[in-house]
Order: sequence, then structure tokens, then C-alpha cells
Amino acid sequence: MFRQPLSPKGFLTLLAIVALLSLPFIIRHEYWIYVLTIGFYYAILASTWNVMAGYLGRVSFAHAAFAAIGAYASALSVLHLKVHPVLGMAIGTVTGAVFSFFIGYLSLRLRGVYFTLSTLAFAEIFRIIVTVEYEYTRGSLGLETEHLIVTMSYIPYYYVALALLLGTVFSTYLILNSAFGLKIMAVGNSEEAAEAIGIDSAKVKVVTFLYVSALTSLAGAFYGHFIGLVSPEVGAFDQLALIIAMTVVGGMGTLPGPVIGALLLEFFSEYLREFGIFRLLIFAGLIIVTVRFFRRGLYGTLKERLISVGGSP
Amino acid sequence: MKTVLRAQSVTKSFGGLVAVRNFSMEVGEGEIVGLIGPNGAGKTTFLNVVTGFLKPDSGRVFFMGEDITGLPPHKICIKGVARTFQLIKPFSKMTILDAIAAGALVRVRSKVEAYRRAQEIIEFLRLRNPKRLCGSLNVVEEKLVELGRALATKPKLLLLDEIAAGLRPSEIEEMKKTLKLIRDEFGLSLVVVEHVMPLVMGVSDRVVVMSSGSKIAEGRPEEVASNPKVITIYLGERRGRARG
Repeated sequence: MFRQPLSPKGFLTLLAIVALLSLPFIIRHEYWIYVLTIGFYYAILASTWNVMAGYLGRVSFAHAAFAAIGAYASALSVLHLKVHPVLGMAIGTVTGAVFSFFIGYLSLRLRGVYFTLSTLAFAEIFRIIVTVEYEYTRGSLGLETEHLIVTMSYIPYYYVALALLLGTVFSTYLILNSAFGLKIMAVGNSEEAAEAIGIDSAKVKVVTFLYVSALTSLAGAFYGHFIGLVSPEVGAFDQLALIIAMTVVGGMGTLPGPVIGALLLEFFSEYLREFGIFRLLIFAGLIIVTVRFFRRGLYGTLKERLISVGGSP
Repeated sequence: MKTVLRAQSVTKSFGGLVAVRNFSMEVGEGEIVGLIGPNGAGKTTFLNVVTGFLKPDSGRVFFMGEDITGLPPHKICIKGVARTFQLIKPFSKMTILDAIAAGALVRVRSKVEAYRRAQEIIEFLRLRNPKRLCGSLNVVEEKLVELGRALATKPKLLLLDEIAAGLRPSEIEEMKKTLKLIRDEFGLSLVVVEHVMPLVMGVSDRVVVMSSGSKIAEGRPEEVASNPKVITIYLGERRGRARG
């Protein structure tokens, strides 16, 4: 499939990485560096959500909640255990993994829509608890936390976020192209057929959900130490909606799609900031147009066109 | 002849409907057994019980002498029982190669090895252009991929649920040859659940007839075809030869 030493695909990937690495030297505006850093955060979330929805065929509504779990676990351990934010982020990752294991173990073994419903219930319960419980989380005021790096510039954060994103995309690429990746796709295509050929679908689903949730929690923890404040908003439903929109617009079930969608929508949403609340309307229109005319998302449609023109798949 | 599959008094009901009633059958090593019967006779339900997709209310299923009753489907596959589905369940968004390699993963750990095995099966089944998506195939190719996926798991017993449904007469002839070749090349036993009589009568060493969940006849194809009970359930009171 990707056996050539440097396929056009590989070349484009390399080009994109070099471009992203050199962008802070080209864009001198701290503001846009900040926007891009946030964009990378969303790109990680969209990429991991895409592994569940686009490959495993399971929709998780707890995705933003896992980012919040990572953010709170990290912020609280930095505050109370006096650990460095880097260690806090590791604690956040592990906490997300533990939570996802229990939710996955309980609900992913069921077929059908139960997993999605369970994640929705979990996300809402989590949001309500952190909002109402004031003592530890400061409720809706948000919990102030230490910054990851003491600096006046956003550029160091930009590179940390980029490293996390590249790590996420690369590890996802490796997993999807491994034997386990075949199992993920088999379960995503037909769970019964997968079981009939000896695939333990429950195990595949739980492990995938664990991987995805751990990375999401890591991204959330980073986000907290980037902004310096963790609020229930991180795990709110509109964040989830944004993640889903980014994935769908970019191209669900493709590796670069969610990254492209996330950067594009984050960029747009900043560009349209002057329209105030109306930008959400423009946003919604954009999504409808994409879904109507590019059903496989921007990247997915582009890929399809290229293949039908005669490029090798 | 060694017994590969032994189902003992299997009963399975859904609510008030008894789909399989006190049904027993055996499959010997290298044997092709046809399982026929009218719609709703309980053939697919029985297949689902054997492969672990349904748990029987009573009765036991033994594979190679080992009790496999109630094991989950993937564990039964690991033991060496593979199946195809009546309503095919293709891995639509995967390539032919990936779909069949996914089947091989139950026996081999490495993806390279799985691809090698898949390639062999693709050549054996004479599937062209294995980089195509499974969602873009014609009926014959879809059935062959379904078959290939099951073969990749290296089964000792393969259960085929209406593999010939929807095929044209010439394609049925091809399928007949393929099934016999599979038995000889892969050294496995087959249970062929089928409505297409030319296929099932042509390949089976033995035919079991089910009606309303029970076994009503069993024997060599020509014996079964002339059995009055079988003729009655297929054609009612009118007399004639059992044909699809």
C-alpha cells in the first residue's frame, strides 16, 4: 500500500510538516500562533475521535469530557501534589485511560447504540459534577493552574502542541497500518463478520477506546496548562459538536482529514470573530454545504476525485 | 471416519417459536454435508448455534470431541470452525486483500504473513485486482471474498449459509467445482446450507433435511431426493422430482 520509499503522499506529508515547523518564522503575529496552537489541540481531538467514528464505527459523545478529565486531573495534581505540569499531564493521561477502560469495559461489549448513550450520560454527569462541586474544581469559575512553560511568547507552546499532534497522527498511522488496525477496520465494517473470523471484537473496541481517550486526555491536560485555566467548558457539548464538525468537514475515515478540518474551522472561527454570535450561523451553513456537496469531507472528496482520475489508490 | 462436528439434541426457541427442535447431526472428516429444508426450517438458527452466535436452550455441540457449546463466536473460530453469512456481511470499506488478511490474523501474528496467506487464497479463488474495495464488487466476487475470508482462518469445518443464492446456473457450476476443490486442497469438512438444489445435490456426500426445526430425512443425495416425506415438504401433495 505505502511501499514506495517516497510516494507523492509521503512527499506531501513531509512538505506539510516542514511548513508547520517553519510557520512561526513566517507568521510574526503572536495572535495567529496562538490560534494555530488551539487549532493543533482541536486537530488532536478530531484525529482521535475519527479513529473511533471513522474506523471503529463507534460514536463517542464523551470525547470533550475526556479532554476535561485530563485537564482537571493534571491541574488538580499540580495544585495539590505540587508536581510539575509535565508530570501532571502524564497523570491526566493515565486518569483518562483508567476512566475510558471502565466505561469501555461496561458499555462497548454491548452492540448497537448503547455505547454512544453511555458516553453521553457519562459526559453529562462529569460536566454537572465539576460544575456543581465547588470545593476542588471551583465550579464554573474554572480552576486556575500553572502554565506549562514560563514564557512571554506562544511559540514554545506552538511547538509542544505540534509535537503532540504529530505524535498522535504518527502513532495512529502506525496502529491503523498494523495487524491491529486491520482488526479495528474489520470490527468497524461488520462486528459479526469480524467475530466470525476470530476477532475478539470487545477487546478491539476497549483497547481502541483506551488509546483514543488517553491521547485526548493528554491533549486536554496540555490545553489547561496552555490557557492556565480549566473550566467545565472544556468538556461541554458544543466542544464535542465542534470536534465532530471538524472531522466531518475534513474527511471522516481518513488520516489527514480531521487535521485539515480542525485547522480550517479554527481559522475560520477566528476570522469570523467580528461577526460575533452570527459567526456560528455562518459556521453552521459552511458545515451544511460541506456535508451536502462533499459528503466524504474535503480531503475524502479530493482523494476520491484523484483516484477516479486515474491515480493509483 | 473421524467425527469433526457432533451436534446433540440441539433445541433453540425464540419466544413461543421453536426454531430448532431436538436436532442432532454429525459431520465426518473431509465430508461435505448438505443441509436443506424449506424457508424457516431452522437451518440458519442451527448454524448460529454451532458458531456461537446463539446459545442453545438445550443440547450440546462438540467439535473434534470438545464441547464448544456456548463459547463466543471468535473462540469457536479459533478452535477451527468458520462460516459465511446468508446475508453477506462484507467489509465494504476495506480492500479484498485487507478483508481476507483480517481473516488470516487469527492464525498468524504478523501482517506480512497475513498478506501472504491472503494472496494465496486470492489466487486460489481467482479473484482479480485485490486492491479493490469490497463495497464495489459484483455478487459472485462478494461471495468469493466472503468464502476467502472464512478460508483464511484455516478452518477444519466450514459452514456455508446459502453461498449459491443469487448466482446464475453457470456460476453455480463454478461454485460447485470451487467447493470440491476447497475440500480437497484445504482438507476440511463442509456443511452446505442451501436452497439451490443443483449445487447441494451435486457436491454433498450426505444430505440432511430439516423441516420445522426437526430432522425429517438423511442420506445420500439421490436417496433423499426420492424420499416421499421430502417431496411432500417441498412440493406439497403434487408429485414430482425435488428441484430448486
